[in-house]
Amino acid sequence: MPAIFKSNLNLLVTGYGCCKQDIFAVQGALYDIQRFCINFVNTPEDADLLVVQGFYNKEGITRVLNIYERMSNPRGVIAVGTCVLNKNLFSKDSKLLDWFRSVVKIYMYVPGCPPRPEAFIYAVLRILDES
Amino acid sequence: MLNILKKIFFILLLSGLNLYICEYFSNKLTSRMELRRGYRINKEVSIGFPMIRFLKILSNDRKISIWTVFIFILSFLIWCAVPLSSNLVLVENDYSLIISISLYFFLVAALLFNLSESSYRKIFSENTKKLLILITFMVPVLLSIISIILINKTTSLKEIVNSQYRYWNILIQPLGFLTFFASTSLQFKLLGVSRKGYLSEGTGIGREGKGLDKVVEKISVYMIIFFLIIIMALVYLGGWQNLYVINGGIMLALKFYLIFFILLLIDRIIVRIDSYKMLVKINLRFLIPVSLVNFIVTFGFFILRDVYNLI
Amino acid sequence: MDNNNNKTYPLPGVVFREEMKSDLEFILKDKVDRITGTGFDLLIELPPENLYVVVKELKENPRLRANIFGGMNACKNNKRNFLLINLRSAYNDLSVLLKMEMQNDDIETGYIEAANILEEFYKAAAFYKRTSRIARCDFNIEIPPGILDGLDCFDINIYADEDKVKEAYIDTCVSRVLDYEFYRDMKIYNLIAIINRFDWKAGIFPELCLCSAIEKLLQLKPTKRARYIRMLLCELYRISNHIYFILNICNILQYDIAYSMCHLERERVLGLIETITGSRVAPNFIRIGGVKKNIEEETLADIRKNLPLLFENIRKIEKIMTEDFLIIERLKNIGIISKDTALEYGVTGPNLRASGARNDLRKDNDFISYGDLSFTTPVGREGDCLERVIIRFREIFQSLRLVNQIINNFPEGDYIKKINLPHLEFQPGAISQDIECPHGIFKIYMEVGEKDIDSLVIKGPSMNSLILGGEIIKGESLEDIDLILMSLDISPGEIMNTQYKTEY
Repeated sequence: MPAIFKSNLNLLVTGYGCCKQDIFAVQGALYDIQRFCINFVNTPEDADLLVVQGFYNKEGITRVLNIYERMSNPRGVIAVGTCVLNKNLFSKDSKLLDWFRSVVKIYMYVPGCPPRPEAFIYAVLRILDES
Repeated sequence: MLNILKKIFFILLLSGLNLYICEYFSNKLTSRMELRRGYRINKEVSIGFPMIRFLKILSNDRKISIWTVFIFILSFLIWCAVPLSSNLVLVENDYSLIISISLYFFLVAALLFNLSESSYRKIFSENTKKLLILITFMVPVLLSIISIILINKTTSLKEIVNSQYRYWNILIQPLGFLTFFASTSLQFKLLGVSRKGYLSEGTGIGREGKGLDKVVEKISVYMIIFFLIIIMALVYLGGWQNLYVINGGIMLALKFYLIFFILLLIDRIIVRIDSYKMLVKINLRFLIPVSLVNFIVTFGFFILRDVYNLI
Repeated sequence: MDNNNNKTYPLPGVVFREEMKSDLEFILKDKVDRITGTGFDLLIELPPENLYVVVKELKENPRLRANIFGGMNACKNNKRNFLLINLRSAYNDLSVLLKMEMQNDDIETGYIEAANILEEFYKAAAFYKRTSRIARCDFNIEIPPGILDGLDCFDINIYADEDKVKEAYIDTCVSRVLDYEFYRDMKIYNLIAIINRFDWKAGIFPELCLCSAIEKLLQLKPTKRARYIRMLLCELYRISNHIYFILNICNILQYDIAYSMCHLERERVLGLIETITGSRVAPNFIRIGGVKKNIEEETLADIRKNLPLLFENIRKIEKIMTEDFLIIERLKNIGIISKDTALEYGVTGPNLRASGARNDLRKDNDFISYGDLSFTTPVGREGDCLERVIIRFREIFQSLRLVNQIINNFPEGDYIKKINLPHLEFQPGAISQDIECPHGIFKIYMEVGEKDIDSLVIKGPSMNSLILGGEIIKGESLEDIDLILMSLDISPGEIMNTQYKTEY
């Protein structure tokens, strides 16, 4: 029974950035993430995992934190791409992102600019195995 | 008394089992329209996930309203007059078809009332629009049902099934079956049975509500579709006695899953229809005229045959 | 007007521009500081207090009639602060950049003042005024940024009566992530590596625009093979972008079968791109004077093998989409853009062509060597959502035809002219470059010092589409908003804008 509970993750992709199209390419028939029972949703209440990617300003980070608070049963946060890992590509100061990383615990980092779809699938499967 | 409890238990078990199987297949088919790499289950743990879907939502929140209770009761009460096999029926009387159709109507109305609680206005307006369109799709269903009643001269589902011992009603009422089926498949699309909102910005029924509310809505949506499929299988494709070797229950299950899969496949190849423009194009210009023609022809046939005894 | 916009072959541009320059110098004699010719446009430098007079003259003089408002950008760095306003004319080839030098640090107030002045002449300029959201509380629906690529860079505030949209206001506060000086301390090759994020649906075009601007400054012409490789990549990215557009439309329509077929075809095209550049969405492939890598014979054979498959499958998708009466009913007669409206708001590219104006920079002002190849520019008539979908299909087929011609006539020779980039010395000056990207005309304006780039302004075409999108959803019903905005093919990277220093 615990093995059954582990499966069936709902992902919510937030943010605004170029990693998004490679994350969504995972839905296609070539990569097909749904064979692992992983779905994409667009309401925070249904989501288990939050995927954070792309460029953020103050407004954007406030919205992501708002979404994170609305998630009823969060299993973790995945950070995708160099912009969230290190610093924004087009902005020199990384104060805002440092603060964000200190507020929210990020379970998995997917490096790459942008990462390939296989890398994203690998990260999600690692979370499935570890939890 | 014990007998009735046993029947209730069996009906609940059957509907729960069907809920589970249909949720599983509709989930699986969504990812595998192309079926490029064949149909196979990669991880055996994934078998359990439709159930988990329900359980998980249930554990989060316990918000409940009076309409939720109504919807929950109605979605199981809808089975009381429908005979799943020759023995498995709770209420046996001569008006079972009318009772079940009116329960179906009440269920849709309760869904509509439940939406009036929603606070986010865009979702509220879209969902209300969807359900109002759904109610207009009930007109072809009602017209084809009335034609069937006129043909068979009875309102009891059991007698309608028994009267088809030589040939199915679909041979006498092809237009009626066509409108019934089209209406069912469009309701399937409208209710968003197989679509979990993967990235689609469109808001489905039960998108916003969370907790128990949402589970009940989901169950009721499935029950509406199951009910329509069962009625279709009983009224148009039931009771042909040349295949008496096979048990009637098994035959009904086969028909049920066949129709469900055809509906799932049709769901993939039509676009969403939740706008009044589409309603006018599909329903008012095609489905309702065709079902009206069918009804008028049947009514004329009925008058000639039974009132004046000409045929 | 029709004659000028429906032309197939351009006027002799350079001669005309010189003539126009002397005209402008005569008309705007004492109101402006200087008029110079950059690569594509005329640059008019003027003091901020003369803006009203100059714009009035440009708009109302019957010889100029600059009726298209291209856009407005602010540029601020340690050397100079200026505002850049782009005005064009639909009646002749006039395209001017108004440059206003500002005093230190008051560029944000100057921006709002300029927008207020421009609003009297152009409706689209009202978008650039920063109105605070608290002041506009008469809206009753707020739609947050969506999940889909293209709807995620703005939120819409709507005042709706029943389910008809009466008033709409688009706020792009989420996408204000740029620093004013992100290119400072950056070498040119670093800039080439990151500039493709300004249009991440088709990453090759910003790189190409930047490199051809620098090449124009150095008066360097790449070899024939390099130009053909560039054209090949451009067309492959155009196909990929248009398939992605159709995929998103199918997703909103919940048309699952075409959605998954589009995914497969997009992966096929991205696979071809990956064999050439080594990356899916951020190519980093164009270099000054050529391209990064040569294309091998096997890659060409691979493309040759895949072309018929692509053609067949996209034809199949087109057939199932355009023969379905439900889709036609759904898309027809919503989001109609007339030709005049599209021109007025400065929309370019397929969106303008769907409204009936023949405007293709590949034909009009050949920036690589499209003159060697034969293709047609598809033009629509109605300007509704269906027309915009159909025009993308027709452009995909034209691009496939172009790719076929390119790989069949692939020239021999070097793929790059080697230059010594660290010791490069420019002649200081300003240059602007236009390019036909899949969404419209992509524009880069830059000023170079002796060694590096002093100021850089990047302006994508999607901003104009978004402003027009805010206009045309008025009067439509609530359920069509997503569809209309998605049918304008907004690339989120082009909406990316500079951050506010002060909260409004």
